[in-house]
Amino acid sequence: MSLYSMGMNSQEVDPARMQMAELEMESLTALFDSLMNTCRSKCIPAEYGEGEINKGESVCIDRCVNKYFTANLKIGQIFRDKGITPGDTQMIQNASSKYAAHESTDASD
Amino acid sequence: MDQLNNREQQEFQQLVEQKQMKDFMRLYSSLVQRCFTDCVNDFTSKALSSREESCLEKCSEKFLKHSERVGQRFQEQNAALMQKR
Repeated sequence: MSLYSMGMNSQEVDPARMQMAELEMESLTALFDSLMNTCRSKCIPAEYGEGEINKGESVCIDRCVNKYFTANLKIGQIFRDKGITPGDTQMIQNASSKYAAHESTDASD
Repeated sequence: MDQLNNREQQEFQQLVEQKQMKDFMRLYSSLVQRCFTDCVNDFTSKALSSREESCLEKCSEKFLKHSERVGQRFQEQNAALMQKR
């Protein structure tokens, strides 16, 4: 691919590569954001007797982050298995019909 | 991201700084929204009561500690993921 043929020692700024890097950062930020909001509503009750995070809450947060990550990977894998891409305009419909097909052949991992 | 050359790294760094500013503003406004929603429910006065004020203090302290902890765990998970690749 042209990405690699240019070589890393080249000092040209390649817009495509910059865009990929930006996308990567954005997806990471989005994951972090949703993860933080989700784990906060699941682990931090809306009453503030004190400003500290207590033992139970910390354990909950740690597990929540772990699970969110795993769920994220799991769903990513499902998307890859079904071949759902950003080009799929009718993604939802596709996904549900592919899901039916997937369920019958679901033996991997 | 580590496949960028020096000039690209520099340009990317500028981008990161811009985004950090945006992220900070977003964090701040979501903190205000969350803590206001949880702490302020009484509108019989236009001033914050001392109870509401102390709730806001604790809420924001807790919010920040929460995001700090999530950040740490996030980094660990992400590093582990990168190593697996």
